[in-house]
Amino acid sequence: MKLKQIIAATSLISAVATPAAAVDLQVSITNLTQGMHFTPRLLVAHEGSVDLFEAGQAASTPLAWIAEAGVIEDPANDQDFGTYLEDASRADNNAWRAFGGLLAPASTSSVYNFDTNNHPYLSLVSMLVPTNDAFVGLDSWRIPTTPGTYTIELNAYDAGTEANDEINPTRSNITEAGTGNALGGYGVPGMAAPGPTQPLLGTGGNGVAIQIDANNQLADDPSDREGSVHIHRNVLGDADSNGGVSDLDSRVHRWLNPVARITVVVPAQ
Amino acid sequence: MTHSNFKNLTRAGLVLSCGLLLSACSDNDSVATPAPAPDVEFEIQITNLTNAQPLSPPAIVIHEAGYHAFVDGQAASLGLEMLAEGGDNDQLLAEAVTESQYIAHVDIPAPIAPRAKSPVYNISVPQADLANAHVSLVSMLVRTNDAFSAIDGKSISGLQVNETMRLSAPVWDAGTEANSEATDTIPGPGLDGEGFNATRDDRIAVVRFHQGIVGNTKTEDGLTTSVLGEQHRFDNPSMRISITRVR
Repeated sequence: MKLKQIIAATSLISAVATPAAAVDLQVSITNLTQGMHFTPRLLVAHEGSVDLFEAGQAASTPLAWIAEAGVIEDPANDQDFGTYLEDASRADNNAWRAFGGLLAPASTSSVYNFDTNNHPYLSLVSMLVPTNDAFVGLDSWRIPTTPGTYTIELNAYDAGTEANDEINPTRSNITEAGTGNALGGYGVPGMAAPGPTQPLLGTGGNGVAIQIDANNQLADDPSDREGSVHIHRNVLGDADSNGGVSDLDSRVHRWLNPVARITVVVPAQ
Repeated sequence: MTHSNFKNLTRAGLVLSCGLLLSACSDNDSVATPAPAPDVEFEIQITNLTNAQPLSPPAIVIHEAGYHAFVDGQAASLGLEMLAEGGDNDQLLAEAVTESQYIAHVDIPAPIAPRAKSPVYNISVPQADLANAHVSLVSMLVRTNDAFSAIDGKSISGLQVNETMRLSAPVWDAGTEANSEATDTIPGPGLDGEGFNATRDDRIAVVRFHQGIVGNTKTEDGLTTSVLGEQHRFDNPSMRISITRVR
């Protein structure tokens, strides 16, 4: 893996220079993994005061909603990024859109036309499925003013909000300890696994970071969560589709960084 | 806390030495003695991006081009070996200070916890040394045999005041200790296995990218003789380093 070197100019000089015109970026993303789908992409152009995530710090609730369940905006949900970014306290400091559906492994998205509304930084978040709380992210990339095509490689992060049990959520006989809730999604153990990801999932795994107990229940205790955002240590998987430790396949679902490449075209003004 | 050896003071030039000899300078009213230029100051902060690998107290060295704490494809120095196997940066820093390219270093006593940011470290560089100033940074992944995270000689001379540079560091293998992951070879609190051992028994005797740890989790490729679990695995990058020029 190449060393990445990002020079982010925070000098005040840029603030007194001629402000950039409204910028319509053209963004596309390539899924570099062999076995992970990407949920719909959240793209945000923002001021320095907005930060979707920070490695080494706890994930926010909106980030956890994407990392655990792939949810960006839901009318019934006031804890997601759709609500957070529209809040009066910061709505003027960002422009955001959700792009696309599930992006399959080894595939490139269509081109997204994204109006940054003059905000200087670009961030992106999308969940890797099927996982517990893995996401691919771009954190506050300084949007160039020089027209051209820019390529950025992105890594997989662990949100640190859910233990990496690697359990298939369609196993209806396994429930959350204490509540009896079904697995998968936000705030419950088990991976999120949308339909297209299910054919390659196994069953019967006992659990990687935490194990199913004698009552067929999974207890995702807060002490089992890693607690802060960090580079994902990779899923484990196994080669036993009916048992073993994991319902992921070690030959299919693992990755090495970078997991995504995005291309950003800054148009001529 | 920073260290500049005496050589740097003399390298700052005639202006400084003139300033130290006030009696000689003040006699000549027609030649203004410019005040010595203040040191350039940087703030460095490290994010430990791993899940469960503490990073040993980093060795951070500011130096001219030409110094290398490690070289991809070459055998490790004694200082690198001691750091990579046991997390002790004393020898590597002692080696750096004697190099002709040495400018300054930071004394850091504490490790950096996994998934956390370090404190902000401050370091000063004499103005006269800025033009050729580079930073190297080395830290051990403590729950390994001889893995370290490092950057090699990145230039910091172009940073303007209040400008920040962000770097990512991969994980390297020092090539000095076999990657057995066995109980008595992994140091750090709780395991307290052996750190530095002068005998080099790695399969490959040079520094190279680390291949990752296997761990003992019972899956087809679990290493039953490993004391490490799946939680100790890591991917690149392992450190994010933020360097800001503040003065």
